[in-house]
Amino acid sequence: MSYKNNRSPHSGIDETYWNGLDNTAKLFPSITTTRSPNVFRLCAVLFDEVDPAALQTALEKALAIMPAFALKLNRGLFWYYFDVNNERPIVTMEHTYPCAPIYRAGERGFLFRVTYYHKRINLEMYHALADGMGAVSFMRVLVYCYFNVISGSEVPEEDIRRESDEAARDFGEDSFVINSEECSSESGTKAVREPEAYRLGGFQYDGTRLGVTSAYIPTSALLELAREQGATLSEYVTALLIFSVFNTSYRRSLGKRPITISLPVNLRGMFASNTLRNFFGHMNVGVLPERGASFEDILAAVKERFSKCLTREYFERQIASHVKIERIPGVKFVPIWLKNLIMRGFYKSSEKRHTLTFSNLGKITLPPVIADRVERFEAYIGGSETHVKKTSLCSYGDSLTLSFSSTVDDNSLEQFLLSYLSRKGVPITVSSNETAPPPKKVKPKLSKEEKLRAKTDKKTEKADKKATKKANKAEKKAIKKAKKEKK
Amino acid sequence: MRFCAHCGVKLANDNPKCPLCDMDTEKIDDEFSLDYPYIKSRFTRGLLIRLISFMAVVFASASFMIDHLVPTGSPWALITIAAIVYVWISAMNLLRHTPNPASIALCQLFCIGGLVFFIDFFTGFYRWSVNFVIPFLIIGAAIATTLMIAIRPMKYRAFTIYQFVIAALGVLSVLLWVFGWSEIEWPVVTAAGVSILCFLAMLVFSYRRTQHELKKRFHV
Repeated sequence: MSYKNNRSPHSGIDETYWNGLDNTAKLFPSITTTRSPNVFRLCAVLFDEVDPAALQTALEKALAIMPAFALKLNRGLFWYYFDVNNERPIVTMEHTYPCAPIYRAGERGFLFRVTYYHKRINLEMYHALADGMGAVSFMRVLVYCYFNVISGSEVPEEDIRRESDEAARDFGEDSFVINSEECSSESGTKAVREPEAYRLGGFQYDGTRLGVTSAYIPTSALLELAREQGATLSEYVTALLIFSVFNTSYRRSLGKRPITISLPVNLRGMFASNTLRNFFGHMNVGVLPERGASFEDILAAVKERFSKCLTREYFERQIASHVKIERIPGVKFVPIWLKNLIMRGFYKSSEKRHTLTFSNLGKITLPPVIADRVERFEAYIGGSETHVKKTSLCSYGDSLTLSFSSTVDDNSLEQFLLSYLSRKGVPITVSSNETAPPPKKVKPKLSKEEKLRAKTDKKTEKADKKATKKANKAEKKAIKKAKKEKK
Repeated sequence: MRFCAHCGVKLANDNPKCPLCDMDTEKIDDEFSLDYPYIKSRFTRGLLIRLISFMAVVFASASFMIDHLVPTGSPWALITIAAIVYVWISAMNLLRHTPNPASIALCQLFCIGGLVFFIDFFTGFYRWSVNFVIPFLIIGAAIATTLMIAIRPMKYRAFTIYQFVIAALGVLSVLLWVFGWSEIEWPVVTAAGVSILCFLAMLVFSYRRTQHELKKRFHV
């Protein structure tokens, strides 16, 4: 058996492939717990019911096109690393809460999960493997392969082929380290240590339960509202979130702590990168609203903060500071368990500085051939013990999905935000995973006579069955005998 | 579809209550989508872990209390507690991990080693644990891991690192004799020899794989 040319049976990666985690991904395995699984979900809602067998074939094809996802996470002495996964990925029907844990210490399966439910294909991704954009790329390929399998054609569309070529080229590059060379930590204004933010509370759900609420809104309607105020979609929704927190649970902290929204920002556009792994920065938008502040006041503050932060210099400094930590001499040789402890501490202190996370995945597109076979895309961010609510937004054509995931039993924020929008004249359809239990099968009560009759019926049925079986056997024997006699 | 007049939103599924405000909704048309499955709460592994842990605490405290009330002069309660700790660690190891027999072997090596040393130490310290049991445990673990590799070469990647750790422990066990903890030389030397030979066998028969595997595990 030659070891050199062995290839993984399902993804086709060289079996000797392994890679370290990228700069941001290094954080995730150390802060992952059952209650904060660091998983996010991307859904494609089709017009027809999903065919499980076709989806299974499509997933295998998609992995062969994008082998960067056919990995598992292992623990070394100093760092975690990705290793080739030779297993076959299995598509199942959705049977857990959204964004259920994928990576647990000691378990070495795939770092993503593909499930389906009626018309919906779910792709759940462990954040160490990829960020939102990486998952979108994989989802596009998966959906494309799915329709390819269903219609029986084999030729990849130009668009998908280009994407897969890029994927093959930048297989697991660490864009943080590559781009850090042109980033200096002195560029731009010096970072000010942000104050502790107001945090949402509530009665926590048990275990891995996650409540998700999504609002389907026509993209044009929301864009129009934003444009009326001279804001972008991200600015408008961020302001809306702050306004909703301000009007629901904020009152006791009035004037003490700011409401801060943390926005992950995709850095691929700003810096040259095509990576499928993580490449995003963070922007904290905090507002300290005064008593009786109007939506317009908050929006103005948000806009100002956006224009300050959404610059190359701001993120250059962020990348440089992230990479600097990794390059402190000696850090490399700290054993992984100690690194985990330290990283958990740092993460906890940084977590105090925002109220909510709002992730805007932007516009998702598909090749024109299959564009009209998908109704919409949805995105959800998994729960966290300390940050009870997370929001995300993505749009596909004219259908935009604003979704909330929550680990507490309190929907007042969503209620305020959505009814505010509907009062502005935006048509909204809401969907939620608060599903009522299926009705129990109730046995009808029978009287004594009926019970007796049922019993005798059963007995006669059994006797009938036995008789037919005997007759069948006798017939078979007779046939065999006849055959023998003929011979 | 349904409509919630209070929130002013349409509802995609057929729930009679609005998910936002929990008020009654009205039906507009018969169309509705099946959004999410109903998920039943199940008997989870978390509960099993808690159950085992609690049972361990119950037994440990019971033996401690009996020992306190009926003093015999022998440290039997301590030994019982050590045995309970051993059972608890083994159970946690078996429950937490996807079964990798080599990792179970290594865990057992540590736990049984610790347990016998503890028992020996509290019953007069005749050094039978360091003299014989621990070296033979190392020999057993090394041979068992080698057999696992021979039987299931496909799982080679998962076993390599454990073989390496066992070999390292074998070498370290010589220190027991060097520092005078163990009085008899031959078991310690045999343990070191056997574990190193097992590791060497791995290197000789598939040098590149072993080298590659160790490089991954120790990369900085």
